[in-house]
Amino acid sequence: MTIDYKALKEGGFMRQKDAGYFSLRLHLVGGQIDADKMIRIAELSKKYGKGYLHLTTRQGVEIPYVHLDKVTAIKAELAEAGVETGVCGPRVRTVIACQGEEVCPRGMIDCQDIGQKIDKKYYGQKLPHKFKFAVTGCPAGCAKPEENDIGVQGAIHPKYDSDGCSMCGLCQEVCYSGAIEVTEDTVEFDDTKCNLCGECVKSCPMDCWRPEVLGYILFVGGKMGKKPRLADALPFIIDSEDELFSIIDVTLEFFNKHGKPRERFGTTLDRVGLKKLMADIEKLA
Amino acid sequence: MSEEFAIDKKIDITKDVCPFTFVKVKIALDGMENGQFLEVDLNKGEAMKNVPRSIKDEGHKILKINDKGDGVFSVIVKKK
Repeated sequence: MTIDYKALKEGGFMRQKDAGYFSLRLHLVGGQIDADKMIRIAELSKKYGKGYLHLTTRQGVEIPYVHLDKVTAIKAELAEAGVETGVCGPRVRTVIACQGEEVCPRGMIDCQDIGQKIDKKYYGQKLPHKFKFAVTGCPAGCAKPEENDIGVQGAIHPKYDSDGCSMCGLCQEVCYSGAIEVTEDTVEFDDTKCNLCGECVKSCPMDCWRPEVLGYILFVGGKMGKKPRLADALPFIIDSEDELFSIIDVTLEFFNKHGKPRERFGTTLDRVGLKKLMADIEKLA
Repeated sequence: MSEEFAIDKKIDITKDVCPFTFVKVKIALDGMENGQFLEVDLNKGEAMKNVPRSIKDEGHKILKINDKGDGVFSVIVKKK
């Protein structure tokens, strides 16, 4: 019997060194999973694997040591529990995300929700090479947007209104980028230094700092691996979810059009030029 | 200045590190009545970046922040 490894890979079966065994990758989004599903996955690892799970570097779960003979059976049992297998190969991979504004005090966007929407729209889509998304709530970048083909990051452009300001100086203290200077009777803001983290807005006891724009920064073309390349940030804040997805659509079309087979997106950008992608994005306006 | 407010309780968290800084503030506020005033002495840097923010997130009102010099600030909080 010939084994169609390519087909198995599409279904998340990662061939192991041990002949006939696979590490079965599961489909998770943003590193979150329902506890009951996790319990079921653990049980199935005892039944079909070696009774342990591997947590992947990109917030995923794999069940190692699943024998080829058991592939159909474990897939069926996982499906019953509402768990799908993952993907590998030249397509959109697991979407990673931090906990975002729902949980993290620094988060500015609902990363889990955006992650789910990206997954729903693009997961498994075929592209010239593997394609990774990350969604992170703030410039601390815990989900590492700059290491992914597309990284989405929450951003606030703040605006100061002196009305009610007690001149306490807290905004200057919390600003990571030295963009705010509080003197005896003025508050100066240098927005060229601002890193869009929103700490001034979140900290101000008098709510004098408010978000002028609350939205997303998009990072494109990042990757790690043998030749790491940090992503380029698009030089503007995307101020709506619709616009965010339109720009992601254009970016994926661009990669499909210009990317060579087995060429990562960052390499395509270096070859073709970020300016060309920017020109395509500007056509949206 | 703190004399503007009738301070009901004072704590000093300048010797503490995160997360005990905010935990001590929380415990102090838990033992107070709504509308009472707490004065917290804290350090510039990590504590100043995080503690006032956490106090705000819990719904209390920060009325004033005074720079006491030598990297110490005092924060006047009104319990919600």
